[in-house]
Amino acid sequence: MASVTTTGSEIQTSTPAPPHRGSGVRWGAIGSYAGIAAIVIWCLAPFYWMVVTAFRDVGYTFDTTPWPTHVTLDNFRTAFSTDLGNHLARALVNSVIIGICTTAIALIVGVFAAYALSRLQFRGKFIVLGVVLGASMFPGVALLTPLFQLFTNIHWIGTYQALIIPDISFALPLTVYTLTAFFAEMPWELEQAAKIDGCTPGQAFRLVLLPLAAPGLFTTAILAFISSWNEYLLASELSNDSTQPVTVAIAGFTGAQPHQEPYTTVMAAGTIVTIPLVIMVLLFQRRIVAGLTAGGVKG
Amino acid sequence: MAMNPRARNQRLEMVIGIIGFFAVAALVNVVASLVQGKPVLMPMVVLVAFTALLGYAVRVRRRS
Repeated sequence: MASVTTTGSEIQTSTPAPPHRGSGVRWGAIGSYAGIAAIVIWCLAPFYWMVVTAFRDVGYTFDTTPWPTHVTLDNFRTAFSTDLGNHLARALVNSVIIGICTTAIALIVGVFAAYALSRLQFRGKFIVLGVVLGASMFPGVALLTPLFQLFTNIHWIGTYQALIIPDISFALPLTVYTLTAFFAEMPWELEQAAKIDGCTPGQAFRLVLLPLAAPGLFTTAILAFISSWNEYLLASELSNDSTQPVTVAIAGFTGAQPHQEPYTTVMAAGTIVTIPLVIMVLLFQRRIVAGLTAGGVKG
Repeated sequence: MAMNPRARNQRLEMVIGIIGFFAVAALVNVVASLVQGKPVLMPMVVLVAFTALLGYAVRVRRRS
């Protein structure tokens, strides 16, 4: 921007020099790209190695060539085969059932709790939010023994509810916290306008606020589903052969020989299990980012 | 820079909630240990620590 300075009768016009363009080498940009590349490689290298090993012949399991060699689909066939007592297909169905039930219940309960925490004024509101946050910090391993004892006493071991209810206790704090931030960002005027038009508070919530909160709901649903899909610790103790999710099923994979660890089959199963999550995140990545950043900025 | 008093109170209330949750969990642990006849010294120390922390947080909140 040009500036004009007046000194007596003399008028001076000074224009700042254009930004220095350098000699062509933009070290800052190169550093940024190098940093991004390092992070991407750091994050994706294990997944890349999983996929490479999944497509590799079992005889070359420990081959360290960094690109696919001796490519075969046998590992995927073995992963789905039930000859060795592995039941990946059934475990996938179990994981989907557990994930969908957990997500649905956590979302239904969480959306009301989040609405109350963000919209209603009552004493100790932030204490409740702190309790929710505290519950999410509670270590899952501390719950393992009491839950096992409890579910054994009421004959729930190996049932779906024994896997869904503990998963909800982990997904619910996440749901409440994410949705509270999202609802707090929404303008009050929308709700007030709906009430002026004759809506009850329930109708204003259902017909006006919920549709507008769809990005936040999507984000929360995906995060809850992922947390349930990846849960291993409790499922390993509370499930049986007919209800075990994929995480437990893969950990229990057996090889053709005793004490043989079927690494390539495990990698193939890992690839299969990761695909639904990758597809879901790719489909909804914009909504995820929009939902996660909501509530980050005030005003 | 000094924090907005309202934001400070909200944060303090959240801290009270978090500590309160763990204090209740510690209390349940003490009661369960007592009922089952297990050693109760360590759970009691943890409960006293959480109660003291909670009391301090509540006091700070009342003063602000």
